[in-house]
Amino acid sequence: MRSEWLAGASLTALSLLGSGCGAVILQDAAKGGETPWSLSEGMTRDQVEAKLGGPVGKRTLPDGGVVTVYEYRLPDPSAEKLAKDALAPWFKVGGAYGVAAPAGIFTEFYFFPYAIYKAATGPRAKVAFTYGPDGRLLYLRAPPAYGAPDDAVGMPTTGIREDYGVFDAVGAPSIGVIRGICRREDQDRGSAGLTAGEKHVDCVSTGLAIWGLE
Amino acid sequence: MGKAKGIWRIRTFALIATLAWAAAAEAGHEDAKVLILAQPTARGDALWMALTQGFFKEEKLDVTVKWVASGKELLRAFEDGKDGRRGAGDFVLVSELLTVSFWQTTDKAFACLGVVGRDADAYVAVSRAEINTSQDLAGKTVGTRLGSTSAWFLGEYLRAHQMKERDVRLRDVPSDAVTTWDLDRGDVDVFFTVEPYAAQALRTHGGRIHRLGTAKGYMHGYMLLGSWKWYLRDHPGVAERVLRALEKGRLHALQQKAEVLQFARGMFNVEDIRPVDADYHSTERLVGLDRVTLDDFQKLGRWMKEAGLLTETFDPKVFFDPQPLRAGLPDHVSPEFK
Repeated sequence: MRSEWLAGASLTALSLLGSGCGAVILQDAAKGGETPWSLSEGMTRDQVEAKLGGPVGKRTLPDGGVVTVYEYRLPDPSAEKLAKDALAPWFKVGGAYGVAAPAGIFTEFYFFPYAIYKAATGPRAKVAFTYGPDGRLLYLRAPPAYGAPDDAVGMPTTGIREDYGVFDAVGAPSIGVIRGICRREDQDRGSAGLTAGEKHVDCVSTGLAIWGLE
Repeated sequence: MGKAKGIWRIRTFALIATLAWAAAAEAGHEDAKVLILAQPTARGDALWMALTQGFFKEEKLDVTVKWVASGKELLRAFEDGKDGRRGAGDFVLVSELLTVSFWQTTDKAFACLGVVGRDADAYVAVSRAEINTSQDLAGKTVGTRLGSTSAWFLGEYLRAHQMKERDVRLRDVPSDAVTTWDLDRGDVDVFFTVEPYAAQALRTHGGRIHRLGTAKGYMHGYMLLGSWKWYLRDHPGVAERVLRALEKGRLHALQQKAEVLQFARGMFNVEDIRPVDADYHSTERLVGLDRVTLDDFQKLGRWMKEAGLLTETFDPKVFFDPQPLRAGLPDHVSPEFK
């Protein structure tokens, strides 16, 4: 009875080892884990952790938020090559998965433990996410460093439209743009003060100077 | 028959009342949830303290703050809510130049509700030691970030001394260029820049450079609270509650410097606390609209117009919407805005 049980267990183990598991594990390691960048702001903690697994670190913020650190598997190109090597004997003998071809069994004896080792020790990265006090993903990084840059607003670099927006524009204006603005300025100012020509020259030279154009 | 009708009427009224109450409760719940996009600077420490001291909760508000360093990035994210979409931010706390530009670009769908903090000492002119007066600037090369608050400071400084930008040679440089100033090359004589870079440069270069002046008396850099006009219309009373919580935060920040510095350490991973400390001391906390604000924004409007950054004459009284302040903190609106 005992010998029958042992024989059954051995056959099961052999068929498992010979079923190409090592190659599958290696292929999975080659692809890497869930990419953190596929997540989006507003997701709940449960939704994030269903994809990435549990956190490896946490820090509560003074505003009630939480910075949470996750670890994820990176794609491993060396595992991809190994996976191909592991599958090669099966294709060579023309067998299908589950067929205990001697070469396949030999390969699996070697690859199965190695595949597990490779998957466990493959390249990994850490990523920090910030949750708001409501437990929703606020942004895909830690809070910014202290300080605000002295943001600059720019000007459109070509032409003047009635509805032009300066907010998104960058860089200094062209001379043509400044002249165009000053022509409109002349109309706004009417005839008071300087002559129209003097006002136009003053306006253009001031506009150019503010943008460092000589 | 009549009795049965009466019972049905009572039931109908009860049902309507229940539905109306549920709708009001839902609306109230939605009103209570507020997302603020803010720049991480001590000029807005009223917001920091309102969060940590539970002042928003006292006003029955469930506030989340998303910190965004770049004002441009912050306003780009906020702009997604222009057409009434929630989730892109309900309020912003951002600097003055960008706010005015944003207000213009979004067809005035945006309302500026008031000042939370302002600072003049943070804007600094740092010059070679041999430049001692404003008149020494004539013909000199001035480095500044063109189109920024520092460039506006330069404009006001020159005008106050009867000069214009065309009396100097302007070079567009990053705000931190002063920290790597090569004094032997002689390509820049003065920097108009912002802290903490001026203080860093003064520490690095010792007696070869000095602080020619700050923006004190010329203008201030501002931290302003703003929101969409549609949000203010659809969520009446929320802006008033936000302003009241910020006012409590302002008073707390004023008295509890250690807590402000602690917030910066914990929230923004600050190791060198000196810049935060300096900002804490130079910030003028307000939560309001006063005469100085009006003067500064008239100057800003004039400068932006000269620079071609405004397409029409700017009126601060149109730009600011004092209504929520009047309702929530009536003493914090000066008569000029009434």
